[in-house]
Amino acid sequence: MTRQDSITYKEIKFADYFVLVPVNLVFALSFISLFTWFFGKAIGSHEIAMLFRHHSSISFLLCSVATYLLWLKPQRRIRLYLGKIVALGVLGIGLLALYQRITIFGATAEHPLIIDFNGPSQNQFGNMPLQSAFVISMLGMSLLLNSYNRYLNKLSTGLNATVFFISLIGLIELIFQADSFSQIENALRITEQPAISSLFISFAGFFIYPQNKYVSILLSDGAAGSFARRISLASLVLPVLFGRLGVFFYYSGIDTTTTYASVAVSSFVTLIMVTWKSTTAFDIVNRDRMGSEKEKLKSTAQIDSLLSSSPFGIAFFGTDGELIRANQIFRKYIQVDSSHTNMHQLDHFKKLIEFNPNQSIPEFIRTTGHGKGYELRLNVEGSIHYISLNLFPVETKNREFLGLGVSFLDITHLKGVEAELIAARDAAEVSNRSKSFFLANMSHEIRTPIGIIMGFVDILNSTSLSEDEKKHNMAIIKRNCRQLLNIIDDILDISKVEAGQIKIRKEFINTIELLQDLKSILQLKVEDKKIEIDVKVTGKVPSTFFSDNTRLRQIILNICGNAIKFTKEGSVSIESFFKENKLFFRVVDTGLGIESSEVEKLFKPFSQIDSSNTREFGGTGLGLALSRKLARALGGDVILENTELNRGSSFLISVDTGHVEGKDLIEGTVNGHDQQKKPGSFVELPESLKDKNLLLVDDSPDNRLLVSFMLKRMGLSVDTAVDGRDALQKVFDQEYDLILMDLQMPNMGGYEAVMNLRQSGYQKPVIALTAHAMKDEKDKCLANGFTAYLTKPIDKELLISTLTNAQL
Amino acid sequence: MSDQTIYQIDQILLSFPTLDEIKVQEVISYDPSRELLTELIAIFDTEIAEKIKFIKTEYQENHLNELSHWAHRIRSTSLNLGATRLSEILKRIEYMALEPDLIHTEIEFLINALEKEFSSASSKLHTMLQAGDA
Repeated sequence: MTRQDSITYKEIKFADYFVLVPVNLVFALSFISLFTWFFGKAIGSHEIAMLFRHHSSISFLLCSVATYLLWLKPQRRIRLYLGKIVALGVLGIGLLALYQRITIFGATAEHPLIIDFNGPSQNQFGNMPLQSAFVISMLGMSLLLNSYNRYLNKLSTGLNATVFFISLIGLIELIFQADSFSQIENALRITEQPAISSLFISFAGFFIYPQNKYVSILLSDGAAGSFARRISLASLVLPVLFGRLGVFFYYSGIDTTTTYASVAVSSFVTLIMVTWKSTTAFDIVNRDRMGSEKEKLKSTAQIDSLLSSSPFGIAFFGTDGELIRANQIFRKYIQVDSSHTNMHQLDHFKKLIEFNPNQSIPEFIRTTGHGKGYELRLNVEGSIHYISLNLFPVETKNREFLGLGVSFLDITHLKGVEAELIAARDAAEVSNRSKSFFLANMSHEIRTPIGIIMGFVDILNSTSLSEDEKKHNMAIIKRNCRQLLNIIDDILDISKVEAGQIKIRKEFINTIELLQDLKSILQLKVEDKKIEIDVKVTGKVPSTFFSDNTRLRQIILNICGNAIKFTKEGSVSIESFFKENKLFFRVVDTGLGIESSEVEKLFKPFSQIDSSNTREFGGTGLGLALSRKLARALGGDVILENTELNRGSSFLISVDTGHVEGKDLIEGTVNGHDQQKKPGSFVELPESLKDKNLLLVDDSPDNRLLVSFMLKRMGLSVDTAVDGRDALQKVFDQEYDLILMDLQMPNMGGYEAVMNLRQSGYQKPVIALTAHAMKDEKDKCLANGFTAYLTKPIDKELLISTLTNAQL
Repeated sequence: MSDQTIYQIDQILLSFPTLDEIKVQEVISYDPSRELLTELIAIFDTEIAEKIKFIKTEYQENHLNELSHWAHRIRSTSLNLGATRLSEILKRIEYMALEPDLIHTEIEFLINALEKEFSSASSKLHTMLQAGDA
């Protein structure tokens, strides 16, 4: 079906009268005629009876009934079949009458289509005039063929048209009494009544199944229908009317010229009126059309605006796949450019929506189903996007299929959220399992010491023991209590780190001292094992660095503790090296190693590797997670460098050292406490400091004693004060080249004292002394009037360099 | 029972030596006659013993700021003679006393450890002093 064919006209309100009026008229006429045939003689109404011959009456009555039944287009097909049966009856009567006429007169008939004889003398059945029989046959055939079938409908319309024109010409002949028409073999002559009836029935027949375009337009609302009806009516009526007018003038004695002129004027006026009325209708239509075009433009602009601003990708394809419209998002995601004008050119897109190239678009949408959705993964300008795509048919209100619609929304963000939610759910499930496992493990770890404590408490209560035995048992109880405390401390540490509440207290740490201390303690731990401890320094490391001494030792000892725990024999080594302001400690063991499948959960809190190991070796399993978190809090990390089952593992600990000057880097060895550390030898005092007069302010007598001894030994003159107030008094009494001042003192602290000194105009250097080795303390000192800052215990070389620099 | 757990925190303390003998040697190097060392040990004994009493009293009376102050006060005294483990205990007491969520069992453990560690350090110092040729 082409689109042209698919146009449906909106029918006028009175379209039904095109059938009902003629059918009812014919029915009434036939009925009255039949009535008078049967009862007319009795009441003496022969004139009325002469309206129709009885067989013509029956035939036209049946024609009107059949037309009506067919026009009803009933849902119950019985009525349709009834209409067809009646039409068949009409055809039968017509053919029988035709057959009788031909056989009676046959080829010998002089006037086969002679005019019908009116009158009751020929009232026998079969005495139908030939022309009536012919017309009724055609009407019967037309009614039989009238249906939705296109070709049968055309045939029916042709038959109707033939009957219509025969009837019309017959009527014109009768109206004009034009005998000359009879000269055409009497072929078109027909009596008034059959002529009127057949004209009406054939007219109604056009509108039973109006498929013919002209008929459809006649029935249609709007200018074309109005124009068609006016012109058709004018074409039917005016020629006859004006012809009769001319005849009337002629018989009234008016001369021929006037007659023709009058007819011409009447025709002119009438045609002008018809044209005027039609033009007005067309003008209204034209205005409507222009308005519609404006509306269409407005609507198009609105749709364009909607499409361009929509977050959806949208496109419409016609029934043969042509791309009718697509917004920018669709073009960008599906990679459509101006060269793509048809869906068949979009191979990738066709694959995405699983479009079979052998299918038509209507077939595709029919088989795919309305509103089918896809979730697709696309590469858009180099990045992966996910879209949710829907297909839908584009249809008119009458469900006429116009094409395929496509819309999609970018759901990449939603996919990301979905993935995060899934990951979070999985993590929560893992975490839940881990915590359950952790609780089970912790329960064991807590129950064990509690069990021991309770056992020994019972022993102490119920048994008479010697003092030594009691002491021994008490020591066991205390040790187990301590173990419980340690477990709690670990948990608290983990929770503090996770909550960001862990306090990092940085101070200056001597690298070599740290390593020596670690070596000493580790050697103690492996006394009863066949393990060798090796601690070494590779390359240059800072002599001191700024970090949290306690936490760093906790991390290293934890990692080393694990290494020792899981190593039965062989070695555990610590290698320290410095790189990019980070100090590294590589802990290598020759122990059990870790299975690759277990590596992932190694650093997760509440997650432990093989529980059988845990049971064998003990421990809460929080150590590695806590160590990593602490190392990160110190600006470094703990990582598993490598591991091999039954060969051992290598962990790398790093901490941030802050900025370290090249001159502060040393090459050190860790061979034992005594060998490494050397007592400070006497250091020469620079000339600039010789004979200088110093004031040492410290409330601690040992500090005053030790530092003043050192300074005097260097050749400086030293006086002492016990607090800030004492210092101020001494400064007012005597001039000092330099002051060394403790911060925390009774009566008057270092900050208050230096403030008073500066306010009184004292310009000489004042060096802070404190046991607080914190960096922020140093900054605070410098900001409050101190010239420099030294930490206790005093390092002799540092003291001299600080004094020298301060004095400069 | 595993001793591993005990080391979780204690071993950090243990990693600090009771006496850094190098520090003592350094003091002796200032005054080979050992008069300085003798004087410093005397101060060490009296100062720290006294301040430990203060610390215990302040703790009992819940004067935590004062407790922290005294801990700080004797830290340098312990460091001067190389009592590093004692110094570490004092440092922890000093900071822990000022924490809002004080864990009493922990600070009690440290105060107890303080006395023991002081005793050990003093003992070692006296041993070194008496050794004469240290």
